[in-house]
Amino acid sequence: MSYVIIGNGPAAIAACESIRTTDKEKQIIIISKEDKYAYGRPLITYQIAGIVEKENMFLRKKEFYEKNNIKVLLGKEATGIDPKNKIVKLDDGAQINYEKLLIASGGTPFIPPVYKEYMDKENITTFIKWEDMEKLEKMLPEINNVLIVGGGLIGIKAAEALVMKNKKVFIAELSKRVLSTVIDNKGAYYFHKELEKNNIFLFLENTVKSFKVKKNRIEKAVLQSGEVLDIDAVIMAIGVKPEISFIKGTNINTNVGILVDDSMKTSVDDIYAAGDVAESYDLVYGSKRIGPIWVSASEQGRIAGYNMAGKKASYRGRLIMNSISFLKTSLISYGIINTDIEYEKINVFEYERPDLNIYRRLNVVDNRLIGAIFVNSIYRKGIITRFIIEKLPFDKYKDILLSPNIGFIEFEKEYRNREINSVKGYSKTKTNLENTV
Amino acid sequence: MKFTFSLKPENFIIERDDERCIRCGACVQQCAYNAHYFLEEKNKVLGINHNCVGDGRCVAICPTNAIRIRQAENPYRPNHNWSKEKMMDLYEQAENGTVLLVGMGAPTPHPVYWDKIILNASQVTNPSIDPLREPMEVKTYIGSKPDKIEVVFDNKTKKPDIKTKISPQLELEVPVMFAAMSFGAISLNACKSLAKAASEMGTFWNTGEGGLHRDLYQYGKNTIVQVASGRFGVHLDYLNAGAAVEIKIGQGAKPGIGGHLPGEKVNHEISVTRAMPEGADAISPAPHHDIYSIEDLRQLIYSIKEATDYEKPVFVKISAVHNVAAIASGIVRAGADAVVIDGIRGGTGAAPKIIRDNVGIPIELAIAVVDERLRKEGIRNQASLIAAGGFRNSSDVIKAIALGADAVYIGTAALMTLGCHVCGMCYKGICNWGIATQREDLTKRLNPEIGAERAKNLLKAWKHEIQEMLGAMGINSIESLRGNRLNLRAVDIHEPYLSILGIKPAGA
Amino acid sequence: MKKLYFREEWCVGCGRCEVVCAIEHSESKHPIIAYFHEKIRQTPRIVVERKGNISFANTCRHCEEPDCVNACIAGALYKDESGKVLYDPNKCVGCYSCIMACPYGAIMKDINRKERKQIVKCDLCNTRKEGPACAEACPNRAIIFEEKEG
Repeated sequence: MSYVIIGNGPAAIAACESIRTTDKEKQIIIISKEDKYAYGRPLITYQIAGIVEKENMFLRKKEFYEKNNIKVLLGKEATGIDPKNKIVKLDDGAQINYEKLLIASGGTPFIPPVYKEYMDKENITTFIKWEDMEKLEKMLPEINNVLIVGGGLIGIKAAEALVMKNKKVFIAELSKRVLSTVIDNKGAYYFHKELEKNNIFLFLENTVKSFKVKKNRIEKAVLQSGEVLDIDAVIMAIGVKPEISFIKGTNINTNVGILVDDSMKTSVDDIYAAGDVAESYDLVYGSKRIGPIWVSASEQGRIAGYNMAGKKASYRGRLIMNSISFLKTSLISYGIINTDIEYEKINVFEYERPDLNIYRRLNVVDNRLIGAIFVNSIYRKGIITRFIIEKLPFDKYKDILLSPNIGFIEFEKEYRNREINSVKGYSKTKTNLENTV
Repeated sequence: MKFTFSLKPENFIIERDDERCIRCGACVQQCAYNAHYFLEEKNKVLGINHNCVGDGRCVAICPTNAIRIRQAENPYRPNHNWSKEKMMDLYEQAENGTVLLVGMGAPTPHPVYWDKIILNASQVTNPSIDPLREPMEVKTYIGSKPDKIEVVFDNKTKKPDIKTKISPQLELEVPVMFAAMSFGAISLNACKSLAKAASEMGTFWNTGEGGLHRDLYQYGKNTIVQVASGRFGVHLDYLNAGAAVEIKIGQGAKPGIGGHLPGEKVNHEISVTRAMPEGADAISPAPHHDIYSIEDLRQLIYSIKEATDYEKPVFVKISAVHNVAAIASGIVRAGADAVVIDGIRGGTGAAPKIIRDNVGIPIELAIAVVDERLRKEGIRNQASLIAAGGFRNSSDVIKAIALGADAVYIGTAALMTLGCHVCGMCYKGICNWGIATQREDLTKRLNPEIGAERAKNLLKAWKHEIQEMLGAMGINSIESLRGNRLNLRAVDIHEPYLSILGIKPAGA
Repeated sequence: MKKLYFREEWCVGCGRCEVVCAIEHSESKHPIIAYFHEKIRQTPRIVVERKGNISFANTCRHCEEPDCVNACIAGALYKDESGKVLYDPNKCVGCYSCIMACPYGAIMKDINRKERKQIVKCDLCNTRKEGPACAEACPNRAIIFEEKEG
């Protein structure tokens, strides 16, 4: 009997590591749809740009799997689960028995129905995984004008890679700003400026109505606004949704993703879920949500692993956080950004220096920080997470949160002395919360 | 920038090796006298020589050893009478009309007799002793010794016992103690360092006239509590907390005058420890206002003995001045268990320069005459003799004992273990080493963990050196060296000092 | 595992720890060459915070469950067998997710490096025979390197 993990991303690797802190014996089996060992999907844009080599994209060295008795089944897809008999069915007909199962299958690209017919053309690709990277890499020498559909996290990073390879880039984005889920309008202005500086054509509040195809290649894109663009390639960067097709027929509760409790357990015993596929408790929203955040995937995988191996661990909840840069402009944002949608009673605190391209914004509700945006101002910003996680009173710390140099000196003496001398470090389990609040 | 027209020259020159200076700014941040500053426009760190007091803090803290402090040359025409120092003092008084203040002991060029006295060594006929292989007793007892001892034997066990009642004694593992330096003159961290070191080494430290801070009561067994003319912090618990009580009549740095701690330095901790109002000037009057005769002194000594149930030795400390022998004799007869004499080199936190440099005699002579006089009067055993004032190393200690002292107090040397560079600016209260100051940002620089270790190291080293010197002399107990002037010879000391010291010239 | 611990009550704010950290992580390890003549001047991995009378240093805590290792998309940050959290600059793509995630603010941009985005973090002077340079250089034992129970 083994631990079985469906999925081969950060959640899977983290789960392996935490399982092995408790159980060094029982085998772990990873079922990987892709035929590559665990690698960082976000790295594909850096590979295109020439910043990272393919062999450096893997999360762990080969020894990691050998040393830890992990068997990786590459290029196998899970097609179904039989919870009663504790079996995972694979696409090649094989059946894998599990003692504890972790579903960490991540997300698949979301293709709006209107584009589905174009997806098999030669010069169009999504931009999520390795094979997308290789497809684009092959195309790269022959193309010049590239249209990116979607100006979110993936779209912007793809644009950066193409600009570094001297391609002409067009971006079509539905919302009125790029990175719409992780930045506000004021902050996005700096990204728009940087995009413009690099000769990128940005079409906001716009999208592709249709494509003109010739000989199985997309030649033109017709935008909603009426513009017609001559293009050599298209990147679909609209977004991902949880990959849960294979759990049909089980009574694993889902909403958008797989619902899990504090120990990352699903509604079915011995089955856990972690990462982009899981719908777990979100610290800031105070309810269960999906959240495609790399850090959270690792955290959840780790928590799931502990529980699977028999060591109780209780997840404190996900904190949304994103770090992204486009050439010289960088962004770090936390928590709830889209204040116009969710809450009415938000106090907003801003600090802006347009001459230095610096922008800071804090969203505060009931004297507690619930979200923050930092453009071109990232020095030690991780300390901010304490305010959101531990729900520290905002008014006491308002000045340091807006200042360029955040540090421990503004905290209470006892708190900071305990923290800077922490023996175990910051924990993701609920016990950490009890000690600090 | 201050533009006052001043005639005072600089004392020190700050030399910075620009190639080594990495502009880290540590010297700027560390100098409490503001002798360094950063000139942003030129990306250079520069010095203000006039502010430099030569205490070496910047030199030590600089991570690349880029700073050197040099004494400023005499900018005036050479004049044996009007030295640079004399001229500076005069300019200062012309500008301010005040009494010139100083810290630390007299640096005047009187002869240092320690450097002219040499020790004997045994050879051939009287073999020397290797202290690492044979017993070498360095332990010393401070207190009144009886004229004779009556021994009785137990009828049944036949074991001997002493019938004579012995006065209370202090037991010292090494004949060196830490001198009286008050909390107020020095920081609490400095006191803690010395108290801890003394406890761990089996010797004693002295509270000085500042009272005993509550954090230091734990070291009571190794504490000598002082009763000075201001009677700061003197109450029953205080007297009983220590191992001995010392009545301070005077000190070597400022004989005949009292002391003055300005109100700004009397913060909360000091006011609580000294049992006086916060912010008020702490004035120790020149005489004790209840001691106007030797009988008054005797009365105070016995009041203290009564208050402490006769369990603790009572010392009396005086400056070594003209008639020190006669005064010492009077003190012994008044009932003191030990006489402490403090010579002209004795240190201070603040004293008028004119008094410090001109009043008092060298401790070498004082020890000799006091010991001689007490022996002649047949009362030498009634009190121990403790000497203080400028002891620099273990050879000074051994020589002092050979001249007649039972033990010595070290003040300046003790502070040097904590980092003191003898710059003499103690009275300003902004000591860069965190010793002679109460400013919290400065006192934190003295970590008692480190201070106690260093002070202890000094005593350990000196103890071992004393053992080596005794062994070389062929003596295996420090008792045999006490007052044993035959083990000393003088080089380049002339009469009458040779006779006063009671030692023969080398070669004789 | 021995870690660095910081005592605010003894820190005098001199900044020697920052200086020697930069020197120790330079190529030449010589103060003058490290500061003036190397291609890239090192960023100290230790930060001294100062305000009024208060000062103290702090570095990476080498957490048992490191947020930075969780956040790293490239696997450039990892925990080795001894328990230290270490950084492999060859794998780093400069996404700054670690800076975003670290609740101690222990990871910082390598500010003098212009041609490639990288970070710096304390490595407990992994390759230094005598152990952490900062603890050695501190004049007042405000930084100590020792083993402690959680």
